[in-house]
Amino acid sequence: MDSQKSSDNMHNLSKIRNFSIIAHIDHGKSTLADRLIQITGGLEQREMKDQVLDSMELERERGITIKAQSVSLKYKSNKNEEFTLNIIDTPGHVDFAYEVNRSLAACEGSILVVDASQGVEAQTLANVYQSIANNHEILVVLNKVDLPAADPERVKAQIEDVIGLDTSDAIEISAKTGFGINDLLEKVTEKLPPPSGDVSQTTKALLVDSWYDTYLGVVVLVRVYDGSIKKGQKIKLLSNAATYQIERIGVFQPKQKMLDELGPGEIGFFTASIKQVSDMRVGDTITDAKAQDIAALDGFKPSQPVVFCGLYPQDTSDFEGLRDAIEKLSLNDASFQYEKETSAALGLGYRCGFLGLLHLEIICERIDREYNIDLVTTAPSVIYKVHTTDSNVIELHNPVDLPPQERIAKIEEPWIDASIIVPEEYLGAILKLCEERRGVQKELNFSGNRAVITYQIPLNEVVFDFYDKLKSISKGYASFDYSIANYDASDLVKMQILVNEESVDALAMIVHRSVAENRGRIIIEKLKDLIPRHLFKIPLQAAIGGKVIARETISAVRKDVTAKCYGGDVTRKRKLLEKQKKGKKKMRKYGKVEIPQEAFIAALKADY
Amino acid sequence: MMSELSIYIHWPYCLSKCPYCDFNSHVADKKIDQEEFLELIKTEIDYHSKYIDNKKISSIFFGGGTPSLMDPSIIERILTHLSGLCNIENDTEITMEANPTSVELQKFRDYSNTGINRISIGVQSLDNDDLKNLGRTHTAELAIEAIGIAQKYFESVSIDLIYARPGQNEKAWKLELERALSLQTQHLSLYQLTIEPNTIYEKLYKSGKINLPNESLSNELYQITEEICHKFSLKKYEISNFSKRGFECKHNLNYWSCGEWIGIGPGAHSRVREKNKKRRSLINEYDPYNWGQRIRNYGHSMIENSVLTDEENQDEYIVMSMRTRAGLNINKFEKLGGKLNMDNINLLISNGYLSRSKTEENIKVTKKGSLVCDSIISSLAD
Ligand SMILES: Nc1nc2c(ncn2[C@@H]2O[C@H](COP(=O)(O)OP(=O)(O)O)[C@@H](O)[C@H]2O)c(=O)[nH]1
Ligand SMILES: C[S@@+](CC[C@H](N)C(=O)[O-])C[C@H]1O[C@@H](n2cnc3c(N)ncnc32)[C@H](O)[C@@H]1O
Ligand code: SF4
Ligand SMILES: [Mg+2]
Repeated sequence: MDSQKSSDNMHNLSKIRNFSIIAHIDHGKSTLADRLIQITGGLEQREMKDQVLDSMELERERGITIKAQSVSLKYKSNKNEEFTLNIIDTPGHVDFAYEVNRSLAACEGSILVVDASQGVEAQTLANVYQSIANNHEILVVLNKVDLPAADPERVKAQIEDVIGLDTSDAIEISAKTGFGINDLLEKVTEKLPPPSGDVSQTTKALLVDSWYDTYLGVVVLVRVYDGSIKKGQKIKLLSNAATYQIERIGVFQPKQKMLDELGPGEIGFFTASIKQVSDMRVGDTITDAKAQDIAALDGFKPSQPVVFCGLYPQDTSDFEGLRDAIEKLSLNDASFQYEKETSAALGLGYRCGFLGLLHLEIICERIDREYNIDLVTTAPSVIYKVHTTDSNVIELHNPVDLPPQERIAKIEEPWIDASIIVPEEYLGAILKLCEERRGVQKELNFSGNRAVITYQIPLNEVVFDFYDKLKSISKGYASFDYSIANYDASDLVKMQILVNEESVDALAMIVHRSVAENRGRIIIEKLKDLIPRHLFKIPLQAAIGGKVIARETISAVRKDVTAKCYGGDVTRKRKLLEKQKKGKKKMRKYGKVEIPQEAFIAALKADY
Repeated sequence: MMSELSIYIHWPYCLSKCPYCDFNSHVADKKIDQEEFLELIKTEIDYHSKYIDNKKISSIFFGGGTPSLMDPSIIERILTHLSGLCNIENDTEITMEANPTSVELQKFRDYSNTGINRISIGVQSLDNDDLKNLGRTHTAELAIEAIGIAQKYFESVSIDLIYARPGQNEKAWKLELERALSLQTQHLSLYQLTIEPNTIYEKLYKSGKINLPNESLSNELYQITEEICHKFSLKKYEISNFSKRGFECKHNLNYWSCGEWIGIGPGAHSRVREKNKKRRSLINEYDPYNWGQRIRNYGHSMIENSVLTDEENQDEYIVMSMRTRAGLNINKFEKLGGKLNMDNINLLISNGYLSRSKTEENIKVTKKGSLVCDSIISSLAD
C-alpha cells in the first residue's frame, strides 16, 4: 500500500491552505477545480477527464455538483515553498445550500468565482453570505475572461455594488484555457489564512461528510482541528459516544493516498468498519475514545427535508426493486428520507423527503436510470404544522393525513426568504409571478440594469414549478436562491380530486383557499385530456370538504368500432391492441376508472 | 388432418384513385405489362409452395386495386398454376373484386369461365351526386346493370356500399339501402366511411371541407343498417358484412378466425404454418415496382418473415373473432395458450356489452357492444 509516515510538511500549519470554491451554477467552479488539479500535477494529463470532482454520472451530465468532495494538492510557490492546498468542492444548487455550509465550515477561505460575461447571480450572493458567516477570507476571481462577452470591469463594479466586496485584488482567469491560474495559486498562498491548531492537544475533528464506497465501505471525510487522527487509534463521536478503531487514513489527491495520520488543519478521510452512513452524523465532533470533557465544535444544523412526495412503481411488481433502490440511494444521502406508505390509487410505495425539487428530481432520475424502475410521483408537499383543537401540533407530510376540519384550530405553513436577481426587462413579469404565489416583497434594489429582489414566499407555492416558471419568464436570465424562514398561519385547505365520485388520494393537495378554485379547475381540465374515454361517463370534480369547486365530465365512448378489416389489417389491428394493452398496464384502476400514470405527473405539472 | 388454406392475390392498379381510399392501389403511369405481372405472381407463388403444397384451398380472392382490370386469361393462368400445386375443388370459393364500369361488365362472362364463382362489386353508393363526390367514375345505373349481369354468371354476388357519408341522414340511407337490398344480391359489405390516414379525404376532413355524421347519427345509421338487413332476411355475420344464409364470405371468415392464408402480390400479408411448426407472419414489399424488383432479384418480395408468439396469435384471434357473429371460442383461445380476464368479461356481460353463446362456448358482442367493439377488445385478456 502506498503509505508513509505522515503528510510531507509534518504539521506545519503555515503551509496549509483550506478553501472552498463558491460560484453560481455554471460560472466555472468544476472547471477551475480541474485546472488546479492538473496544474499542480494531481493527475496526469491522460487521467484528466472533465470535472474530476463531479464523480457521479448524473452530476457530470447535469453539470452540477451534488455531493461535496475534497482534494488535497501539493503546490510549490514562486518562493519555492511547498504548500498543501485542500479544496472542498461545494454543490452548486439552492437545494443543497446546507451542504455548501458544511463544506465552508471546514475551511478558512473561499475562492469566489464569478463569470465575467454574466456577473453576479443569486447564488453568488447566497454563497458569499455563507462564507462571510463562516469568517472566511474571500478571494474574488473573474472567470471566463477568454470569452469575447467578458467584461471584468463591469462585473467588478457590480460585485462591489451588490455584494460590497473589495475587488482591487480580484484575479482575472480563464479556467478553460488556464490563463491566470498560476497567479491565482500564488494569491491563495499569500492571501488566504493558514489554519490554526495544536498538535499536542487531544484529538478534535469535524465530521464533514460520509459516504459509502463499494471498495472501502463507509468513508468519513474529516477536518482535524487539534491533535491528530492516527491509524489504529480508537476514536469516539461526541454526539453518542460511539467508538471506532481507525483502519485506513489518507487524503484524495484526488487519487486516494494512504497515510499514517492526519494532523491539525488537515482534511482527509478515514475508514473504521462503520456499518452505516447514517451512524456518521455530519457536523459531529470526533475525539479520542479516552478523552474527557471535550467541548463540541460548532457543528452545523442537520439538513432537514422540506419537500415530500410519494414515490410508487408504475408496475406494482417493481415494488421490491424500488425498495432496494431507495435503500441504496439513502446510504449515500443522509438528507434523503423515506418511509413506506400505501395509496389506494397507487398501491405500495414510499413517502420521501427531499431538500428541494431538484433533489427530488435527481433521486427520481437515478431510480429510473440506475435501477430501471418507472416511477409515479405524487404531488410534492411541504411540512405543515397543524394545530388541533385539543392543542396538539401535528407535522403533516402527506395531505391525506390532514385531520377533519372540525379538529383543526389552525394550519401553519413554511415560508422562505427568496432572493432573485434578474435583468430589468423581466422585472415586471417576475414581480407578477411572486405576487401570484402569495409573495410579500421585502426589498427591491438595482445594480446597473439588474434588479436584486427579496421576497417572502410560502414554500408550497415554490415547490411545484416556481423555478421552471422563473427561468422561462426570464428566458433563463433570472437566478434564484432561498432559505427557509419561518412558519406562519394561513387559510389553507385540503383540495380533493374526485374521479367518478371517488377521491383520488394521490392527487389530494393542500392549497391556499384563494388559489384553490383556479388550481382545481386546471387540474381537472388536465385530467380530462389525460384519462381516456370509458364505456361510461366519468365526472371529475375538485372539492374542498364537501363543496365542489370545479367540475368536468369525460363523455362515454359511444362508438369506436373499425368499419373494415381485411387480411392485411390483422397486423395493424393486433399492434393497436398490443399498444392498448401496454397502455393499460401503465394505468391504475381507481374504482371503475383506469387512470394513466402520466395523468398523476402531468396533473401536478399543470400550468397554474 | 389436411389443413385448409386461403389464397389472396393482390392487383395494385386502378384507373383512378378514389379520394377516400388507402388501399395499396395506384394509377399506373404506363401500360401495365400483364404478362410480366403474371410471371411475377407465379414466381412468388412457387417460392411459397412449401406452405401451399397439397393443402385444400378453401378460398381464393383476387383483390385490389381493381383486379377486374386483369385480362381473364391472366386470371385463368394464375388459377391453372395454383391447381398444379394444391387442391382447388368445386366448393373452393373464388372471388374477384370488380368496379362497375362498362369495360368491366363486358368481361364478367369470361371471368366466370375461368372458375371465378363469386364477385364483389364496388357500388359504393346509389346516388350519382355522392358517387361523384366519392371520386367514382361510374353511375348508379351502370352499377345496377353490372349487378344484373353478374347475377347471371356468378353463384354469389356481393356489393360494397359506403355509408355515413358527408351529409347523409337516416332517411336517405334507409332509402338507398332498401333500394340496394331490392337488387337481391346474396351478400353486402356495408362500410361506414372511415377517414384514413394520408388520403385526400383526410386533408379535406382536417381542413373542415367535409363533415362526417356525428357520433349519435353514425350510431343511428349503424343500427338501422342492421334492422333493415334483418327485414330483408340478410344476417349480419361480421361488423360490416351481411349475407343470406350460406353465403358468408369464406375467405374473410378465414381471416376472422385466425386461419392460414397466403398473400401474393405487393403489400400482401400472409399467415402460414408448415407442418408441426409455428404460425408465421409474412409481409410483402408494398410498392408495386419494388415488389417486382425484389421478386426478380430474390424470387420473393418478403420484407418481414417472423414467427408469431403465442400472445400475438391470441391477440389476433381476439381482434378478429370478436368482429364476427360467432364470436370468440373460449376453448380455441385457451388452446392458443391464452387466459381470459373473466372479471372484466362478466362485468361486460352484466352491463350488456357481451353475451355468451347458448352452448356457453363462445363469447360475443351484443348489439350494444358491437358499437364499442374496439374498447371491449382491450379488456378481454391481460
Ligand atoms: N469560455 C470559457 N468557458 C468556461 C470557463 N470555465 C468554465 N467554462 C465553461 O462553463 C460551463 C460551466 O462550467 P462548470 O465548471 O461546470 O461550472 P460549475 O457549475 O460552476 O461547476 C462549462 O461548459 C465550462 O466548459 C472559461 O474560463 N472560459
Ligand atoms: C379493396 S376496396 C375496393 C375494391 C374496388 N377497387 C372498388 O373500389 O370497387 C374494398 C372496399 O373497401 C371499401 N372502402 C375503401 N376505402 C374505404 C373507406 N375509406 N371507408 C370505408 N370503406 C372503404 C369500399 O367499399 C371498397 O369497395
Ligand atoms: S376504392 Fe377501389 S377503385 Fe377506388 S382507388 Fe381504392 S381500390 Fe381503386
Ligand atoms: Mg460543477
